[in-house]
Amino acid sequence: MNMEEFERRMREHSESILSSFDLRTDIGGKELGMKNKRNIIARTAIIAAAVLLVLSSTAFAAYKYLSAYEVAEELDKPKLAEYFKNDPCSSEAVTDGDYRAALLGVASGKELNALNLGDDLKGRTYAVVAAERTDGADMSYDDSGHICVSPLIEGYKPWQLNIATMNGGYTEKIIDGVMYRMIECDDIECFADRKIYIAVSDETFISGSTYSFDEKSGEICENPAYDGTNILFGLKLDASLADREKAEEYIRRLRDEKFILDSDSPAQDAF
Amino acid sequence: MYEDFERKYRECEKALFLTAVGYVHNTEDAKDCLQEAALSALRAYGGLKDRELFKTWITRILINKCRDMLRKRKYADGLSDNMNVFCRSSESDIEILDAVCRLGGELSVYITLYYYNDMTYEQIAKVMGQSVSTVKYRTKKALKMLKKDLCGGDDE
Repeated sequence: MNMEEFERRMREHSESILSSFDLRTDIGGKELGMKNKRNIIARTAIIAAAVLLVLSSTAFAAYKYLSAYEVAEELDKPKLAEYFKNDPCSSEAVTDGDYRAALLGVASGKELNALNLGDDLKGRTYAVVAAERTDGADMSYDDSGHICVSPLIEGYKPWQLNIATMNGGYTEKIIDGVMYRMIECDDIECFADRKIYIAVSDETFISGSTYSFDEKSGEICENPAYDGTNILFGLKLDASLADREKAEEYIRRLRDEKFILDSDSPAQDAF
Repeated sequence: MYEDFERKYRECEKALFLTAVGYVHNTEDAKDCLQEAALSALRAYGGLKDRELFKTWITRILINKCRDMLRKRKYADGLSDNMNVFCRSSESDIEILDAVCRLGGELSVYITLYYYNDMTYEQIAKVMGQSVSTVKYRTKKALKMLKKDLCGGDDE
């Protein structure tokens, strides 16, 4: 049976089952009867989201897009999909400029190396982002080529510490007009006592035009003067995961490789 | 106003019930959710400006009731209890409904809304608060899984 025949069978089944049973639920005048209901519905507390919206132009309801689990499955990353399945989180969708984006999930794991960017790369962080055009047109791979998705870390200049310098890479798929991108970079859990962001911009590279950096406080924010898409999603990580020694060693290595140039930056020493 | 509400409600009552069955996987809980939804909807009916949206509006209320119910307990695999309400339905219809209930997570709701409620992708997107593309993807995925479960073999 092909899919067309199966859909026809489902239509017939739908008509058949709807016409074959009786049902009469009480409404209105029999409201008192509800007191005898078998179940008392108790609202449970809303689970706190692990993703914070730093600044938004327009926020849409969460869960608008596919889940990070579904995206990982579509990208044929079953091991990573299990991570996202067990630890779902999602931001609200944010509209800024020509694009609307949402952070669908973040995962870190010692044994993860989903994109195979290098055999020596162990302990990686992944983030999954959805982005679509605000004019209603489908995303194309031309559009997505301009989109930059990168982690940023408080205390470090965005144009120095970003996906490019953090051994990063990405894979993506456009599904029904929406771009779903999975990025991978070095493990950022050791920075968990700092603010960590996932930036989504329509500039190919992270620069001072899209994100501002406060030299004194180390704070990173969207550059309000930028006339395009420059969204920041803030991550709320468990601070106990922070490992300052590991973080310092990591930064030292990047300095040795000349990715980070200003070793005496007051913002970095503030932590 | 009550008569107007009741007429609209009765028109979609059975489809709503099947939606709840697909969600909570047993008929007694589905009846409870539907009754709760009907009462909530009746109380709020005066505030519904566009009565043409009644079906998507009450479906959304129902889904919230079902989600509330499921926060209290785990999903059951397939239909799990009193099936008297379906005593006149054919075995093959019950078999398909059971397979719909076996779909993981919330996937069954895309099937119940698309087929039993005859909703478009756009209407389902409004009910679920999702983009049309997400709804299309999940409905097609659910349909493939359902076909594989019922017919076996490849899901294409």
